[in-house]
Amino acid sequence: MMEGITDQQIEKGLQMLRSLQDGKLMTHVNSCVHCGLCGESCLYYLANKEARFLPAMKVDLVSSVYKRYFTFTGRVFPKLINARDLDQETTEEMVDLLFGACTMCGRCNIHCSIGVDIAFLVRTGRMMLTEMGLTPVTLQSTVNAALTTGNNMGITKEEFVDTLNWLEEDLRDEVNDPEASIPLNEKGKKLMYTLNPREPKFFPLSISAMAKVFYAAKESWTLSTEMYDVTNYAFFSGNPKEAKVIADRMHAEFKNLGAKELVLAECGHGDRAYRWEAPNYMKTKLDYKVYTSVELLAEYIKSGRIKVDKEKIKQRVTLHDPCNLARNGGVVSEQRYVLSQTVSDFVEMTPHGIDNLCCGGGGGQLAMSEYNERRMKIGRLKADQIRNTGAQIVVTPCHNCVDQLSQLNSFYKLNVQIKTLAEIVADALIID
Amino acid sequence: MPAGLQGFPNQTVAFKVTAMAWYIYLTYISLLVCLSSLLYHFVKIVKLGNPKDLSTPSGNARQAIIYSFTGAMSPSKKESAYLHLPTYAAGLLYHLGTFLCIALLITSLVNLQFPQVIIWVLLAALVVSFASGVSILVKRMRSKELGQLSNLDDYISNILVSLFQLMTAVYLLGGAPEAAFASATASAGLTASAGLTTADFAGVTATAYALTSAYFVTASLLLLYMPVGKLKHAVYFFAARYHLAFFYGRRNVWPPKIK
Repeated sequence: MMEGITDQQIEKGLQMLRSLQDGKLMTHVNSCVHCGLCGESCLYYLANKEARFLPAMKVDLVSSVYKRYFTFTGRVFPKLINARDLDQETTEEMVDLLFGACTMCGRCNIHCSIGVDIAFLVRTGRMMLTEMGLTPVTLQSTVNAALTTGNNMGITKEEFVDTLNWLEEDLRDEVNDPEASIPLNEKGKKLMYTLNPREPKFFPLSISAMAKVFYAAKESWTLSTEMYDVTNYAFFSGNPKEAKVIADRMHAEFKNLGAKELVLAECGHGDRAYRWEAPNYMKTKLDYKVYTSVELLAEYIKSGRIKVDKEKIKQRVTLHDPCNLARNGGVVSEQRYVLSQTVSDFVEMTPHGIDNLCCGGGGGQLAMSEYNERRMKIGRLKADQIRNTGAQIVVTPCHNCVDQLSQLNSFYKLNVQIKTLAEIVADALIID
Repeated sequence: MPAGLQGFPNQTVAFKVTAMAWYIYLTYISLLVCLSSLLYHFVKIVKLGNPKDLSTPSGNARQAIIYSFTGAMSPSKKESAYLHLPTYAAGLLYHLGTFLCIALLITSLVNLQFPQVIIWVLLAALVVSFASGVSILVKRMRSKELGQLSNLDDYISNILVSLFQLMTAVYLLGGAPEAAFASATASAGLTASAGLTTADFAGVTATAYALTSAYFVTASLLLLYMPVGKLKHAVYFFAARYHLAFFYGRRNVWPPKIK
């Protein structure tokens, strides 16, 4: 139970909503017809079978407040359309459902009978709540870590450099070349590569994998020790000002290093937050190419810059599409092309691609420990999907998904390996 | 049938309204209010325009918009359709019936007439769509989850539209054309010129006049209510599909690249 909200907080929330009014918001708050058919497309509803988890309920939370304050009917006949005051009860429900019961995966958008952008409205609600100072503490602390330390895991520069140094030594051993390197802060390279801080902290082998691929491709690339964090949790918390600070740092470091292209690590929300959302926070068009390592890996193989042998990986492999990369980012066929060239037994999940089921860790859920129980419960659907493929390896080009899938692997005893796409490519790589 | 109506045979008189009875005025006014309000919403959305998006598109919004209104609407692409086929079918028929009723309302206002065989076909269609609407209403009333989701507007909207369909069917079925004719001819002073007296119409007008006026009053109520509640999705549905397509199109999500 949160403490009583003040009039000032309410005014801030409404001011945020007012400031966001455009054709898109006006359209989506007025479009839901309460058919309730969206339930079957939502992990939270499917796992809990409670009306409050219907995506339409989440839409209603935002639209009922909008209608109460910004429409004639809502102001004059609130009961007719259930237009709600932004009060204690409403905000408590909003926090619980918009932060704690939605990964903003957008699957309900695709299947909505009308075409309501439900994830967009959830994010609008989150922006209001954040403006009111009601962001869940756990999520805000992740954002704060990024703001104060430069990465959301709070990794110190020394720790980061140490990790990269031993990864570089490992790389030299592996490729048997004392000149192989993981370049740091080198100016004028073609690519500036980024990382999800989970990599140096928990999954360093994915950095090795990508470094090995870069080595094989003879790529001109660098990492930055000043700003390498591809994530932007302020996108999930709904704080455009903080999101801008984080995005600005990446932009500034890219310019500082004088690279030509920015390659985003395997991180669904990092891709979305920088490639698609950052220009809007920063209020500027990016004058350089920004793309994902998934697209880069596909290009390396297509162009013959690297050679791979699909016979090296004989286990059955399946693919989990990160929602922010596929459904919200349009990167769908590239990862499939890469897998078609690097593994011998690939099987799709059902459903997949832009229709995939979220792993349950998106939308900042992994950062909000207070909702862990819910997160693991909704993850059962993904666990069942994986089990049904009979795969031994689950590939996902997203470190956030890797984390959630790893937890599901253990919780639901799936007995599979979870790998990034770069790890698969590195395993299949032929180095002359 | 009164002698004066001999030249006005049943098989061609579906919606014969030849003069401006009070309910016709009411319907015109309601239609004007409805269209103005919906136009206001439409113009407002158009004026507000697309969200300012400074990201570099990787797809084609135009193709996505076409897909949004075609392929993406296919029942095979939507869980809200293929996982709920009876409800989806009922909803589809209900909407088709509503469009039909609106079209018939217009034809009634401009005196378009139909052969009797067409009238029977229209009646059959309206019976099906009315039943569909009622089934959706019953589902909303019986489902605990839908009950929690629903508000007063959801029930009023469904009841008004269903009633409009029912009244259209009743109006088509009989009585109403004669009533309209009688009312019209009487108000235009044609009764006397045809050598008829008001008494000649008494049998017809008693019931038929009531049905006719009830039909137009129902239509007027619906038209007046449309901009108030969720029925304005008549406009917003198109805007929602456009905006969703704009979002997915720029990002190369729609049209889908893999099956």
